[in-house]
Amino acid sequence: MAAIFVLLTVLLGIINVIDFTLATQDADRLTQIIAEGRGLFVDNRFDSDRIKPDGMRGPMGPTSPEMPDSLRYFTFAFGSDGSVQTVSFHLTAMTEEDARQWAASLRQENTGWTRLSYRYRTYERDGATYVTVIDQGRELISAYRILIISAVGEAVFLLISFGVLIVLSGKLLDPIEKADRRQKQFIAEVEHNFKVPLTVLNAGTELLERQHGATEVSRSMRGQLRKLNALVGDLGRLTLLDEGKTDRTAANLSSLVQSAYDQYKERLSVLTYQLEISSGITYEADAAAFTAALHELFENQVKFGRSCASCRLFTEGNRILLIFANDAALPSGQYDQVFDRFTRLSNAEGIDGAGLGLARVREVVKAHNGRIEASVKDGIFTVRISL
Amino acid sequence: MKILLADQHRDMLLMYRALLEQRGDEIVTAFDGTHGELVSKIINADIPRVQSSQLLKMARDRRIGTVKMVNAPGVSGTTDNTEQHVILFPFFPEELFAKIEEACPSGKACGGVDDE
Repeated sequence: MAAIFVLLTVLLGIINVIDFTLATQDADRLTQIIAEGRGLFVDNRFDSDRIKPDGMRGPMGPTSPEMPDSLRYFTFAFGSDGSVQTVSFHLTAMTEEDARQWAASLRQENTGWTRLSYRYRTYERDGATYVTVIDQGRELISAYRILIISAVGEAVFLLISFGVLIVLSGKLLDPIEKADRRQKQFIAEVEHNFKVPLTVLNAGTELLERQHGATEVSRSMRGQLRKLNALVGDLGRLTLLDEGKTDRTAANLSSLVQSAYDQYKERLSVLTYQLEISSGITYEADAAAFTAALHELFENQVKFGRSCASCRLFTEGNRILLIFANDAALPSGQYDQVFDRFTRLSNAEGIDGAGLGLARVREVVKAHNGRIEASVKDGIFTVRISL
Repeated sequence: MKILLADQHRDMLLMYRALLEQRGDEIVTAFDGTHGELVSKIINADIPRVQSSQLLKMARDRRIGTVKMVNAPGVSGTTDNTEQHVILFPFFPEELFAKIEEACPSGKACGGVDDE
């Protein structure tokens, strides 16, 4: 919509500029004719290049043969000795004296528009300065009409476009919103209905091991149950975020990031790590949800960082920026799909996870009115959060 | 320790009864708080019918340790501030045992109630 509005405005602007330019050129042609006539619009001064007496055609189409008599103009000649001579006076809207004073005020100029609808030209002839002023009111009315019509037309077009957009957008977005609602509902139901059976399986596995001793099979079952528990836990936290449940209070983000890093410091020590936290950065945040998101981001670095990683928290203007980066075997590009649920990138093969961690991070960021994006450049995977 | 397990899921009661009995605890199970006869064994009161939320309150009033098992804890992993010992589904046995120890340090009487 914005693009169409800009395009239409530019187009109509060009049309109006051309229209006014042509009106100006027409006026200048007339003042030039008068200048060549030494202040007079005389028909035997026309040559075949400008106006043909039989057809009165000019470069922009036919001109009325009545024009020399219908044109309203005046010319005054100002001598070097201070004398003023009336060369021609064909106006009815003012006295000759008023016109003389007006011309005197224009002596130092060259050419231009004056008093909205009059075009003037000053020129030297026989040692005197001539000032010619012609009335172009009728011609400019036409140009102004085009300007108003184009402005009103554009406004009407925009209103109609908005109306159509509002009507259509509901129909276009409805299937997408329904699909999104169904997915969230599914996740909530899975999360809810899996909880008790998982708890029972957890207990049953423990019981079997106590009764018959731990075996490779029972240990394998425990491992898989832990993964399922973690997955259901993730789904549960996502469901809460989907429901928009956050408890925001003034939080010291600098402290939250430092605390989260401290919990991962040992595991991140295998990487060359750069940590930069500007102190005293506060924000209205749900500390627990934000901390969980930070843990996900640090965990991601532990899992996928190969040799180096970094975390930076700082302010830029009125925004808070939190940037996580680590090297990754991925081609350069934008990777916002990594925030979709159950989405894992090619470098995640063989690494535990269900593809929900960064989805949860995005929900936390959204719940805090922030923006998040992911990209890879020169082998560095970067998650950039802006609050 | 004498422990009342109240849960609407029979499988839950079966598994955790067996586990807790292995620890040497005396277990009383109830499908819901309306089993007043069973409840009275724990809280020593003659109560014909009581819902799980009432049971929890009665137990707390009598300073009997309780562990509430919940499905959806609330906003950010925390629960109602009046609840002291809460465990979220799904959990592992060792997590429940730890909660029981936390709620019932005296080892006298304790209840685990599913608050679904």
